[in-house]
Amino acid sequence: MSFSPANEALSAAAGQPGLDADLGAVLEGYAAERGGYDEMVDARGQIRPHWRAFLDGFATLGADGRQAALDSTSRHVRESGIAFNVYADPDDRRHTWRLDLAPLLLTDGEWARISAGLRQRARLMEAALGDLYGPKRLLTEGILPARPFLGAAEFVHAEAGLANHRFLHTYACDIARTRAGNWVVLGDQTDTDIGAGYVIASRVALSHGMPGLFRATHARRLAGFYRAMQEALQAQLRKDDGRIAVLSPGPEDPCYFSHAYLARYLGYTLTEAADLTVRDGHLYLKTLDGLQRIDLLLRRVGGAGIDPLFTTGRSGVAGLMQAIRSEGVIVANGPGAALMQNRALAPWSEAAARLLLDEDLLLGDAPCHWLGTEEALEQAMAEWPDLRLMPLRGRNDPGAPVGTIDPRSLSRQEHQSLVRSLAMDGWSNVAVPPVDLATAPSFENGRLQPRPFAIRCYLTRIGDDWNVLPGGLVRMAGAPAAPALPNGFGSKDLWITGSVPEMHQLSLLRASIGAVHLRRTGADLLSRTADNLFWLGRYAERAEGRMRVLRSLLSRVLEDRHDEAEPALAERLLAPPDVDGEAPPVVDPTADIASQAGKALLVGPYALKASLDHLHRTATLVRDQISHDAWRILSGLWLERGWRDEKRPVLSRATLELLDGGIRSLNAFAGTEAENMTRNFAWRFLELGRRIERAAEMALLIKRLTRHGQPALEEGDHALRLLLELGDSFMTYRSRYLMTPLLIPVLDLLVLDETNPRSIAYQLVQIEAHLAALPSEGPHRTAEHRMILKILTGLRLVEVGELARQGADRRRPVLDGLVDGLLVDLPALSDLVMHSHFAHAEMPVSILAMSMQGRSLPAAGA
Amino acid sequence: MIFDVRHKTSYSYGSPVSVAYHLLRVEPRDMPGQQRLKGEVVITPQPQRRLPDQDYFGNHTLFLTIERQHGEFVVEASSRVEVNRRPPPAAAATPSWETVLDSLEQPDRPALLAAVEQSYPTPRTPILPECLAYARESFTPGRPILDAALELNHRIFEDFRYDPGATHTHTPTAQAFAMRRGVCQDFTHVALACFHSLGLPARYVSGYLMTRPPPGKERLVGADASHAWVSVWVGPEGWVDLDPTNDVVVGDHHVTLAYGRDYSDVAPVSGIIYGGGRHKIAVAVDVIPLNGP
Repeated sequence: MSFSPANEALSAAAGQPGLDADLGAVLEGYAAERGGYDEMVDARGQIRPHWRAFLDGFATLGADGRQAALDSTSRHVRESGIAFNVYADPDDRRHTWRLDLAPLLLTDGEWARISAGLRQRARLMEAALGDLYGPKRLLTEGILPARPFLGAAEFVHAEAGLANHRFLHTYACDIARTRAGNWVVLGDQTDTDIGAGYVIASRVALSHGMPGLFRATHARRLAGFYRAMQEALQAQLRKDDGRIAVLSPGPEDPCYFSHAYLARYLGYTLTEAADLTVRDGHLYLKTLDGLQRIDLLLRRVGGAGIDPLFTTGRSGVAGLMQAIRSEGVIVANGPGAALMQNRALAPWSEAAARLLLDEDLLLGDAPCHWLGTEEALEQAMAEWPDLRLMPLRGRNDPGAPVGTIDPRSLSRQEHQSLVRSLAMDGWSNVAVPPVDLATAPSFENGRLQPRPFAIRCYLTRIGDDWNVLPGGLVRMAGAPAAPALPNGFGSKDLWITGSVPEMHQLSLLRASIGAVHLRRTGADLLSRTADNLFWLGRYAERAEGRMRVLRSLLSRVLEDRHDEAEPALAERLLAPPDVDGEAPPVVDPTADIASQAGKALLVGPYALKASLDHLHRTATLVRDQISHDAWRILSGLWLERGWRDEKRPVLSRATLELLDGGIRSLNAFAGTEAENMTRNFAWRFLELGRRIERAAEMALLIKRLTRHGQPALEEGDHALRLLLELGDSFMTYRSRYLMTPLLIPVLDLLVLDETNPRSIAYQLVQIEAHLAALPSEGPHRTAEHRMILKILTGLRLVEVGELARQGADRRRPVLDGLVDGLLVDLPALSDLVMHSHFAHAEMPVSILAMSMQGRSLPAAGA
Repeated sequence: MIFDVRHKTSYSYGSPVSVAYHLLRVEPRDMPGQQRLKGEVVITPQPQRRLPDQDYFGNHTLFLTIERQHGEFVVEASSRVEVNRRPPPAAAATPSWETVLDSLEQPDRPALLAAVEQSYPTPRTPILPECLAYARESFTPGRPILDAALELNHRIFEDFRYDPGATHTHTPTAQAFAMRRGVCQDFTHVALACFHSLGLPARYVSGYLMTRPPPGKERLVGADASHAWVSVWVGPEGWVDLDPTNDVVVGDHHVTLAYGRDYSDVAPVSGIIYGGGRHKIAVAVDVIPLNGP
């Protein structure tokens, strides 16, 4: 296909014949809308050459192809869980990562110039940190004011004065192209390189959506950068078997997705502070099999939160700071590195570069005024409406943007109080004129439109030099100008285009996600992760059990088999597990099955909706332990809007289909677990949870269906049929007995038959095998192993005929005793397992000696 | 004067502690006018690791980990210290406090920078308008800085009541100021908040004070206490230590342990323990002059 220059394409859109109508439609109105510098169209309205291959391919896709690519990309974004907040409602657009179909294209030539500036800036940041935590020439020579640095909460005193200490290992820099066309810096991210995980995830989503286009533009791949980072980090350990872990604040953090994704991509263990402990001056991971040494910790926790003994935060790992000081562990970045995130450097960055590097700054800062002096404050007041006020301490996360104040938006009163407070703490603020941004094409409503943007760029240290990621996080702005990296208006991928294809590089993702789903084999499983896997198994089984009950009841009602689904039975089956006393539940005479089922779906902590939320939360916590497919299945299940739909009639085919789909998903999840998980401890804990839950679930069903109001249980009784159905054993029964259900064979199949994967006996046999295989401290059986042996043996000694025997009161004492026993023993077994394997969460307590109370006693002469 | 200082801190735990990390600042620092002649720190139970270090301000720190179960933790620090302080400069001859304030604008020497660093508010000693107003009564225009500081020291002594029941280790300075009550730690934090509100450098000093028994009585063993006071920067003459709890300029009866921005920088014993339940603390201090009282 031939390419049309922009002006022709644009005029084609205006109706001139003979030109590619599709490209015209995509570009319609573009040139007229752009203001200043535009990345795709130059000042004369010509398409810039490095966009041609992309536009060609983009046009070739056609409207349908673009829609398909958009759908594919959005689906990937949704399913991979690129959300800021993993607990947020997936339908809440504020929390969804909106990824533009159109990437930003920059030539490798331009990128080389930008990279030179970024690398110099990284060296400047390291030099400035070394100086401020060391000789402080920047301060004594009057380049920088002392207060915003030495008086900052980010100044970590315990990291000062270390010889040959490196503060920065990763660095991110926010840059923008101005309307005039030159690049300026909006911010330095020295604490942690926030958002790196999003870059990889966006790239994966987009290159899946438009694979041909990615190749056609010769865009540079990201994998090489991360491989170099892995090698450089490993090289610092000065040993072959050194171990690296990522420290995350946990799923509550808006950037948890990014942490988990990056850890997985790089093949490092994702940890939280509770997983770590300092012993003998070194850092260790608490695993199932004891402590394992960590040599380098990639910190994704704020520097002030790493050690409650030495830093101001209350969280962290006690003694970690001392381990850093005595070189027992490397923490990247150093806890005090956040100091350079401080925008108070910006006004003087050129002078700082000359003093510390003896170089001219290649990539300068956007205008910025520190408000620490009266003159600066007066000056700022004069330019007031054109400025934005920013606190020095602002982190700028993709999920939680830095708060800026627009003085124009303040009432007179707010304005006065702001001026008063600035007189006191102006030093902790800067004022910045928003930068007029260049534009780049964004794909909206079927066509490309110019949108202002800025980029977060990522660097890692390679020895004494720095490597720049050939990509970045492009953030679109909601206004023509922005004071900092914009937030909340969607993001784009950044493609660095070359004139020739790049040498083939294998994606790290493919290498690590490929066939082996569990990288961690053996006992180096984190105690906390084992805990979460156990609960993942339990929640998956619990959700499936609830779905089966609902499906059976609703299908009976919908098929007009009301005699088999009266409200009393429904109430009993749908009751939460902990309100299952001896007394028959009080039946609400007004409640019909529809409202009961509606409650069981949506309302309260035991509703299916809540179970699915628990399941999703737990799955999130062990994302790096389950396969990509397993994650996508569980994530897709939770994303299904039907679970939250309160308007759909409960008694409907739609609900049945929803339940069918849910059961299918959970079966598929169990399938990936059975087929794809290595038989290691992670798998065993997932299985343990599943088996304990399934055994308890079956015991509860038997209790509820054989006791209240169902004393007869004669041949073909619908309660027996329901029991077989809920136990997913109807077909087995039919093939074995070729007759209507009878109590004794049903109980044999569902309770005692060790070959039926749904029976209680089968679950107990599995549990016993798992507990026997778990690591234990001594040569003797563990308490939980002894307990399961006792439960299993008790079951094996039961005589099946006895189970059905009815006493004078029409009760079945043996069956009731067995079921009641299981309903006490199984939760107790679960507690034992948790106690002996997950007792990792001993909470730290901070102690401080008494306050100083001294006062001289009444002195003779005083 | 030469002192033997014994400082014993004992923790007893309600339930066993499995792992403990402690940061100690119990060895008196060397500084102009004070020299540590000898000393030792005995820890019970025996720590797995003892790591002596110096903090940002040059104080001696001792980091230790106890990695076996214990029900009791005792730190007993003994030091022999010679104190021979330079007498303070004549108050009237010190520069005006505004002159000192101006000299901080361009801290071109490390010593001046070290003073500037001590002029910033901290979480324990924030800028408080009420402290600023209180300080301004003494810091009148053009007044020599030490003259004003001595008066402030005296006013805190007069206006505040020594009351060990009124406050605890974590009482905010604003609250102690409002109550006009507290112990040496509160008096010191109030003084710091006053100096910092004016923008003047002042630091928290932890240490000991030799107490004198009432006439005719024997010194009681363990009757002394750990003490705190404030050190204020008076310009070219450097730092002068003032004790607002006793309304004195610090002389040879005070032994400095450590200094920092506030109590958090100098706490003699702090720690993170796992387990422990409720704990009880006992502190005993003896400051015994070697060459007679």
